[in-house]
Amino acid sequence: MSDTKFEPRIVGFLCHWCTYTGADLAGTTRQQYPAGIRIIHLMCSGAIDVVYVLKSLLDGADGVLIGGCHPGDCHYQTGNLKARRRIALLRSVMETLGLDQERVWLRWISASEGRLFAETIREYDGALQSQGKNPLADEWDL
Amino acid sequence: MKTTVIDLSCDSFNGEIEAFLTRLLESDLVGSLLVPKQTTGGDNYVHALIKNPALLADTDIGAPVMPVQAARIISNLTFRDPGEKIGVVVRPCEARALVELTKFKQITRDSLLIIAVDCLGTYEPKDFSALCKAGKTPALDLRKQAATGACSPDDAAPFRSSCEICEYPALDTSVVDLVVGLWGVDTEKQLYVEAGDDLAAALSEKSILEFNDQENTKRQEIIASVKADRTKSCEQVLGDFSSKVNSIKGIQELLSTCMRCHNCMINCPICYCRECVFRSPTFEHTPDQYLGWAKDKGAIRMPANTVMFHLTRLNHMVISCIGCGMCDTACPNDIPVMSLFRTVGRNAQKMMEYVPGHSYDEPAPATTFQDTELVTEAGMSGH
Repeated sequence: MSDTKFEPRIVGFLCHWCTYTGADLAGTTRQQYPAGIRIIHLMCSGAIDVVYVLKSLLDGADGVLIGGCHPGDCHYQTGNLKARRRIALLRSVMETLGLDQERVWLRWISASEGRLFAETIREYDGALQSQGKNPLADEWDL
Repeated sequence: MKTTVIDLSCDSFNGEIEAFLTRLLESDLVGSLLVPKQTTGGDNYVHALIKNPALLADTDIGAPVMPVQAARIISNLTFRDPGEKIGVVVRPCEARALVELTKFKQITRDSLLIIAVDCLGTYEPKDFSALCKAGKTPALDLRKQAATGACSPDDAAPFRSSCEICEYPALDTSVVDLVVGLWGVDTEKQLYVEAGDDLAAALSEKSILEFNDQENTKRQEIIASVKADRTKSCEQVLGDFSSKVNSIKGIQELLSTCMRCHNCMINCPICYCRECVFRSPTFEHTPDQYLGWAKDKGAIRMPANTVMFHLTRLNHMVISCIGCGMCDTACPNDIPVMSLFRTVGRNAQKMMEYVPGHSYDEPAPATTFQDTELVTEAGMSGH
């Protein structure tokens, strides 16, 4: 096992109208990106409840990516801006409690940005490679 | 704002207040009153919803015990318009929770006449009960000390830890309708009241309370010095605490004895959701799911998701946490939940530039946003 490369597991919460469609475009245009992302489809990034982000991290996901529309493009007008507040708060809570904030990423990726989606996953994968495995993955007492 | 200093005409402070509340209840300004009243057992005070003025006997607006946060009760009474004005006697942390619940549309502010009483500190209910049973008079003892501002708890029991670091020992009339002062007031001789201009005029007109514009400058001085002392101890206590919980190991040690009873959540005045995710089947998993997680990690703590419960609650309501410490009082295993919330809360509230309980006009952070904000905080710089 020790000689196998660490492949970060990323849970992606992607909004229906932009990032999820962008991920779809990445696939249909045959963009290459690491296979460690598990995508969960949301109608809007503003629909994310941090309880699911926390559940992912505490259960051992190496990173969580929340993807939404660029500001001004939200299908529901401003859901993405509400998500930004929520994620800023989550990261503040994590910082105070000494948890690694860089395991939560919020990114704006539009439906036409398949290439950006693939780049983002590659970038996140690279960042998580250097951060290493989520230490919470081995904690039973949570 | 109008102020008044009144010489007691009754034989005691409580007698004077009872007479005032009786006149208020008999007037058309309120249809009922919610006031702390001594229980039949004699060792506790609970908020009683009073219609009959005769039952204002044995009430004590400053009883140093808070078995339930009044904001919770008031939410139950006014989440819909109750159809009449209810006068509610609350301490500052309860009034500040009322402000937050009003923003969450859990309170009909217009149906309330809020009377805030200076808070000299509160005992844990079990300690207060023991003091009463030992024949002591904790409410009276504290009120006597309030004149000089040096309010210390009885030798036999400390104040609740949240009270020791509370920077809000008193409020002004910006978020409440009427203030009954205790700090710096010689309550064996006098009564000190502040009220908004309109209410003061109505109270005078109906001969409920005369406003003679006398002020109590000593009260302001004492409050300022109590606030300064408390702010200092708050910095120290939370500073020490934050170094204990800035790692996953620290969080695990803190929550070691948590049994997921949810008492902290049930007694929190800010946790108002009627359909809480933790009281829904969302995290009731099937046996094979638990077994799967146990297989992945080798073992999992049961009941599962203890840390997740507290972290989620922090995310959901810490911005509005007013630090009343009901979570501490409610915890059967003495986990310092309040310290956790205030430690995380002071950073989060600073980031959102939000002071909970401060004003009805500042929108709750979760209900608003700006077009360009918190980019760095959300970890999006350069993206």
